[in-house]
Amino acid sequence: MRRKKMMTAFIGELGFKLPDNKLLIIIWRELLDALRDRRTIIAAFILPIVTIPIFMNLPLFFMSPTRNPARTGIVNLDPQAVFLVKALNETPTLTVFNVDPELNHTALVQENVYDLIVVIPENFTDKITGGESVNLTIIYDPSSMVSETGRTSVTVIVNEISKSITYQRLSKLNISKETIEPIKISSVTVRKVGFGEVMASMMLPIFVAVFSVAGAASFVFDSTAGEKERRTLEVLISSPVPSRTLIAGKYLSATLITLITGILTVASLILSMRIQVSLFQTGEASVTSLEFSPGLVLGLLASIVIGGLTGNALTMALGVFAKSFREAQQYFGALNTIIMVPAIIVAYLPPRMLDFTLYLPIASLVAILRKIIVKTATIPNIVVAYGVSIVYLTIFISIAVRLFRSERVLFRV
Amino acid sequence: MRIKIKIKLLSEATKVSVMDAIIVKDLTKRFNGFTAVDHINFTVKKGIIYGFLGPNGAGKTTTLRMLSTVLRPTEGTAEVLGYDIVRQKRRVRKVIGLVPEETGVYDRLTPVENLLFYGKLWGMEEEELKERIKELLERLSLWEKRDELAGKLSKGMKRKLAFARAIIHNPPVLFLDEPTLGVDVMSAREIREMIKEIVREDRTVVLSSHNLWEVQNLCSELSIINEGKIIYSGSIENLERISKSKELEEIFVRLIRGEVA
Repeated sequence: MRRKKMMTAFIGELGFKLPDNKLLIIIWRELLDALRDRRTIIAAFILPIVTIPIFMNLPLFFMSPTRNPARTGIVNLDPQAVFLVKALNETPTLTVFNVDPELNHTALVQENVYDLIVVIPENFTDKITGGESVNLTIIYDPSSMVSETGRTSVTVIVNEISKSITYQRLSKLNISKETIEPIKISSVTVRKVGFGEVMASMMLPIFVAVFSVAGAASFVFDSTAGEKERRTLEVLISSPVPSRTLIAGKYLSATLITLITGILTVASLILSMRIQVSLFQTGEASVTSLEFSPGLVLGLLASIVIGGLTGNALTMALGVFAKSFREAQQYFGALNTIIMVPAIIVAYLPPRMLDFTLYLPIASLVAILRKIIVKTATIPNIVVAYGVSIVYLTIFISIAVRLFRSERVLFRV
Repeated sequence: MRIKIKIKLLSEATKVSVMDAIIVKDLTKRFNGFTAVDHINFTVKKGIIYGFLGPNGAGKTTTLRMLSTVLRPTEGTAEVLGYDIVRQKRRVRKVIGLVPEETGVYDRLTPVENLLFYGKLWGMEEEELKERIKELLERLSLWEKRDELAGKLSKGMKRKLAFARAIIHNPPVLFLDEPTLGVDVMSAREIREMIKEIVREDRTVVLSSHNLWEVQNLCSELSIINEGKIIYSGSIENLERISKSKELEEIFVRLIRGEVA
């Protein structure tokens, strides 16, 4: 009832006003159709908003050592080792429990009763006070991320205590710290790149590439192969509108959808990364969030637009060629392997190998975005990456137009 | 209340002064070596309903698609209101309306939006289009459904909507491929009444149908096509006379079997 009222309000007493320009009329029809198509709404708008924060943060939420501390069992065979138990107890990444020495400790970790168990041996304190070395045992499960993180936390604390004891022993012997630390390391960074940038350089380009190509794919397939399948195309091409205007209308509508999808993707990613940074931010760790310089914003927008134009040209060629929506989706599966896999690999390639990838379709956008984020992009890099993409998109769009003008393709059964 | 449809011939059409609306010359279409339409010739006079009959796969739809410029002929050509279907495609498209075998209406658009879209594509003025949409939807008993999505309409209603779409811009020539297929008795009657009104306004209708009763009652002339070739072209009276029968179904069967010379 409400919908009907809305529709009536929209049309009024047939009081609509639409432009006379044929291209705009085609875009109006395409977008109206798209907004009523669940597949397009889900793929283009809901997926980026909902799935990115979930997929990026849910696993990390469970892996976060502060939110999900390791259940650490302590088998304390030395009642005097209070200082060590206290230090472990005060560590926020560990939740400490006392464990009966008579139990099977390996089995307890294997059965996930505890993530790890620390065995403090008899005479632990006496041996330390006596200037001897003592062995502390950690039983852990390397297949469990929480167990591994817990082991690292215990190792760090014990190493700190061990270091402090060493300094006390050296002090008693009138020996300086430098005697046991003959070499110190000073690291000099060549550029100011924080944790946020490094994470963003791996994740953001992939998501931009994926959603540029796939964001409007469902819409494009519905608008091309879907029109053939529903037999609406025959009437459309019998109208006095040139085929170049028809395909331009479809292409521009898809590009508009990609642009919205791309912006939603980037917004969703930024939000997700901000949450991640806060999850990982611990103590002294040098963590900075991604800084949005005008260069990065421009790079993102250019990548979304050019990626969208290239992706839509490619999916449009596939959609025009396919007999049905389903067939177009099958071709798209193959396309993902050929184009998206290299693009995903590029996100993890060592920086020295990035330059040749600037010549690959879609992968070039991933490479240039990585370079922009970590501030290594040069003007020639930018020209090559976007120039090459424009060449690819010109090739793809001319294929799509040729196919759209071919009656053999349009009426193939 | 029945509203009489105002007929306004497109200016493009009025410039052409010809007696024949459609002239088909040696029209041929081959698909990968298969000849769907084989050197057919016929002429359709202005202002009549012309029947186009034939069994399934005879070449009716291919012929209509060539005449409406959707398919390009392999050989031969045709003229629609004096415009060549190969060299003057856009001019032909301006003066025709098409109802294909499948309705081809947009399911996610309402009837008003469907008509609005096509009216605009044919360059209609806003005010004229508003009136025309209301007039057609009322005439075809679709006004109550104007805000429903077309996908929710019955098959018959969709076919009426496709018919309304084809005539939204008052085309002087109309190609109808099975316009009453799957339509209930009342709706089929409404469509037939409108077809009769259209020709009274000196417009031309080419009607492809399996419904021989419909063809016999609506058409004054017809062509019968079989295996891509025209086996009869002329008036229904002449066909009845040479075949010595008044039953078009019987005549049709005898023609297809080659029993009538």
